[in-house]
Amino acid sequence: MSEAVYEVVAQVMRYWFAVLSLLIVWRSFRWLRRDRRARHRLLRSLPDAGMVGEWVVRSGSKELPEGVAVPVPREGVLGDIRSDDICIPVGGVAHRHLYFDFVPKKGLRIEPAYRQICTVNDSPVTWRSVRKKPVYLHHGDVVRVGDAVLFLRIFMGLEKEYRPAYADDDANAAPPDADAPMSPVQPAIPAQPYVPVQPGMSVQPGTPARQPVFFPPVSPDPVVSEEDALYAAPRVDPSPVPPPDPLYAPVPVDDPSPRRRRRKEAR
Amino acid sequence: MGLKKPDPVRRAGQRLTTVVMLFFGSAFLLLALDPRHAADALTGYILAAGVPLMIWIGSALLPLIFPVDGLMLSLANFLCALGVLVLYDTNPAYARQQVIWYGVGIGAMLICILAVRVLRFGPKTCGILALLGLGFLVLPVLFGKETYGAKNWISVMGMSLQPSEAVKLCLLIICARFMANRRFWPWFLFAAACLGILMLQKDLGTALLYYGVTLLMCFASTGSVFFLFSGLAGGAAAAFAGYRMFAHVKKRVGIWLNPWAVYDTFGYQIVHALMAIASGGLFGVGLGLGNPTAIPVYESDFIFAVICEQFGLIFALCVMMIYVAMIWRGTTTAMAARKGFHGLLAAGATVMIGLQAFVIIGGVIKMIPLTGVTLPFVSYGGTSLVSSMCLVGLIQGVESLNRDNVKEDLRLSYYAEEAGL
Repeated sequence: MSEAVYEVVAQVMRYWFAVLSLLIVWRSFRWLRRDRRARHRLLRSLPDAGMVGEWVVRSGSKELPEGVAVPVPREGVLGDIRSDDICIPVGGVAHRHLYFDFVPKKGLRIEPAYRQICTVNDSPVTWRSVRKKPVYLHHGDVVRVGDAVLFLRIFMGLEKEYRPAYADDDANAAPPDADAPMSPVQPAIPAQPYVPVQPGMSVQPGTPARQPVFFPPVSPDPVVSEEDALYAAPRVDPSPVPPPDPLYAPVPVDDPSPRRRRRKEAR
Repeated sequence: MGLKKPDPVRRAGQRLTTVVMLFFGSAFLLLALDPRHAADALTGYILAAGVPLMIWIGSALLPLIFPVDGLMLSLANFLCALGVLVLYDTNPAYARQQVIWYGVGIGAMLICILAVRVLRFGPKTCGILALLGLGFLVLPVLFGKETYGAKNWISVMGMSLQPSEAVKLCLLIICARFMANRRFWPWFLFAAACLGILMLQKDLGTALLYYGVTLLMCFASTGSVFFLFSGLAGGAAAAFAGYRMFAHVKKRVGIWLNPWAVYDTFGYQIVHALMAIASGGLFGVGLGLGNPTAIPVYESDFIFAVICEQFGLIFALCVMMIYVAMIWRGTTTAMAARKGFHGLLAAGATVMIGLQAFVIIGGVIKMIPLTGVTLPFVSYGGTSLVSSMCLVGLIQGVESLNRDNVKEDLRLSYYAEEAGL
């Protein structure tokens, strides 16, 4: 090709390259937008995505009444300001009172902030003591932070597969393909509003503020392994509607030892 | 009939890959027909077939085997191929080397993806990384050669390497780990040590990058506006101190303020770059035309000026939008991360790419004083290309973990539904 011809061809092709470059940019942003929309649609149907459990308030304040369940993310900071991951607007709680993060197979590790203190099952935990020995919270632990008393429920770490015996058709159904492209799913759990216990309201046993998600072990072995004890997954009758577990029933404020009472009832 | 509805996200990816392949296929074919490259036409034909094939393999096949992010990889592939294209136009020998480094970069990117997925990068690992990083960074001070006023290169087996490009990965990992663990002194001391060594090397452009990335990561982890403004004020003070202490900094600021006064000496480079950008106009002078080699260091720092001259301002704006798309994707990835370490790692890598692109493009168009950093993915340079691909690998590693978390949430919601809860 001669230089003159090449020059003409090159000058014509520059418009072609400009158009293609605009197309590339447009397609890139379109891909970004579609991916973002698909992700948002999916996450809207998974309200508990990223949460490992919840703190149920046993003793709170006017802004945070008793019975409210506050979702717990995988890691974050607990304090009394809105920018914290868990906001506990109760007296005695510092702006950044407590750091927490979930360690699989161990529990929810907590670390009080500098010069802060909290109690776990009536044992004091300070920022100094956790440096020597880390503290891991398990399902059912009660933590006192300032004037707030919080009861921890964990529903993360659900490696056990639950197949109810009543649903023969579904028992052989395979779980969804984990490698399939993400597509919107129907909400798995119907959204339930929080039902905080108001003063004077009669508390019906078996009406928890929020349905917990827990998965019993498949094995019929009554001996509970360390992992199961960690997540306190009780055995449940395979009936269409699992009976309410007294462990999750809201506790009257003046009950001196609610955990002991519930353990007795569960036995 | 039970046909599966095509996934719109996957369809968007396929269309983007097709357009990119079409672009580079036609561009390399045009250059192969250039009479100036008649002696090397075979390389042009091989690139015209090979580059689109590599783009297709990277965008369509690799996601089937590895947990890569298709969009990020497509954008990185586009920029890398653009660099090869421009280098082939100006100096085919550079293009051949750049292709080899691109292959190495892909391997390094995959290693980084796996490292993010598998390794925890605990405090002990970070300690080892810190020692290695500082050791590498000190090498140019002891054994390096001075080029363009900075002593930041070392020669290893005939190859020139820039350790600061590799150490920035260590900086990201160490800062992300200790910021996530809320330990101030480890990351602060490491960053301060790196900055001190870079000042000794007089590599102020890289020092600016390190400082900017550390400051923004600190802001992302603490949310403290006070720290941010204090850091900016400190950076401004350090820049002023650098201006008073270093003669070449004074020279560069003087050139930035009025290059036309010294157009035939110190301002020669920037003046020719500005003239090249202006002569390109909206659509460019045409691929293979013009006189890009008249710009000193056209293959590295001023490759953006070559792109503006050859392809025009519209194309140059599109290149900047590609960087914006990468920053957007990286930011989304960082915000969707479930762990603080991963979020900060992705955020730091994103800021590093964006800041570097901004600093060099700003310097070339005379918006800010020129610094000696390269345009990520595009500029000639093995270390720069490999480290840019590693940054993309870190972002993709975090994105793959995010996707795994969502799949896990889906699986758990299925079991919850089965249990009737």
